Amino acid sequence: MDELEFRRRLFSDPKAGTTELQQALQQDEAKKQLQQELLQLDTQLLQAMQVGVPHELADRLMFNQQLAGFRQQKRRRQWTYGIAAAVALTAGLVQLRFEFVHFGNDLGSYALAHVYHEASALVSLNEQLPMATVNALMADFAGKLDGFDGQVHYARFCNFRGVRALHLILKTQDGPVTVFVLPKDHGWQPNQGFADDNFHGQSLALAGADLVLVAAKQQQLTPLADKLQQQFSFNPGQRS
Amino acid sequence: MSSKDLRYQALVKTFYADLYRYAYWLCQHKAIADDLVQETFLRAWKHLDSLLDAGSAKGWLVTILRRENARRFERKQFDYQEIEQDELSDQHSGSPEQLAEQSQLQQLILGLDLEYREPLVMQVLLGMTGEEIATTLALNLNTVNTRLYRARHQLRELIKSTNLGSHRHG
Repeated sequence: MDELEFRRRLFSDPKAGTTELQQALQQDEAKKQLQQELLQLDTQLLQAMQVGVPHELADRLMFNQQLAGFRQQKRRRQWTYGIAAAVALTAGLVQLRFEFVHFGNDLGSYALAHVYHEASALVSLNEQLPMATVNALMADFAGKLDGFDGQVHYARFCNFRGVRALHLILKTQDGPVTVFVLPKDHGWQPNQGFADDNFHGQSLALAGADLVLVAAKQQQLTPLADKLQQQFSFNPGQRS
Repeated sequence: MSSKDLRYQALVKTFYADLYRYAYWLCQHKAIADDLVQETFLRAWKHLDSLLDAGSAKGWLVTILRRENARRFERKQFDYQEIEQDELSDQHSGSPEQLAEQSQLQQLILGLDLEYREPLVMQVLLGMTGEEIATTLALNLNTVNTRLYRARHQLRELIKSTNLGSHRHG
């Protein structure tokens, strides 16, 4: 190893790790002296390079990570919500499809299912609605109920499988009767009579709307159907 | 706390001070060094799973920091001349003469070209081997050794000419 190469190697790494360099150092006092100077320089350099570090830097680095972790968690949560929404939508579609398959085009079965679905409405029958309220809703069908001698407990628009229908619960002497008022273009096949173990019902074609009546099995429907046929009147000219 | 959090915290505790100092010698500005270290650790946290070997953590962090520093130049054309250099201080107490000497040495280090300064800081401050420096800087070992040689040679000449540390060499 010539002098130049020795210096090049020593200057690039004063600790002189290689055996070749160690041997060269052993043989020459002047070289040893040079190594000591360079090691001394490195010590000074290390001290000079150790500039002050901001005291709170470590804390900020920890905080940044927690913030980033929180954001990542939030993104993951949003993603989870997305999946949940998709699952709910799919479930809804499956149910809708199931309804179509299950009920087909059978007005009676769907009406019964609807009554069961809102069975709670049949139980809490404390409310008595003024006829004006009922007729305000009936205005949607350009119709009105006039001269009904019983009470109306419940009147609300509902979604009758895609059709906007008026869901009424009337109080008769026999007990509550559910009446769905459907617009003429509801698309269901009329059903003169249907029943299951608990309820029975029938549909009724009026001038401006069709009615579906559902009541408990022991209740008579025909007298009410006859009365309603008279008491519901329609005036297409008034349709809003 | 997850194992990832614990790994991250260990990484911060072990390396943040040296990484900050390295960043300072790289960009010569304390506020920028601070930003660089924060960006580096944020990125490190995001990609912590890609760090498989704890032994390579230092080189990995240095590589991330160098990349962040390069991005800084992509974002904005920086003129070093316009940056006011901070007053440097160290964490060691000493006599006024020693502090003055150290301050002078710091200015000499800053005066080195980056291509000499950077490998020198990596070797002296971070304790990286020639091979590690070569890998990080994407240079061959000979080039790294030559730069280290020139860095020390220049500093020695400058020290002699300013009489700095002459009492030690005399």
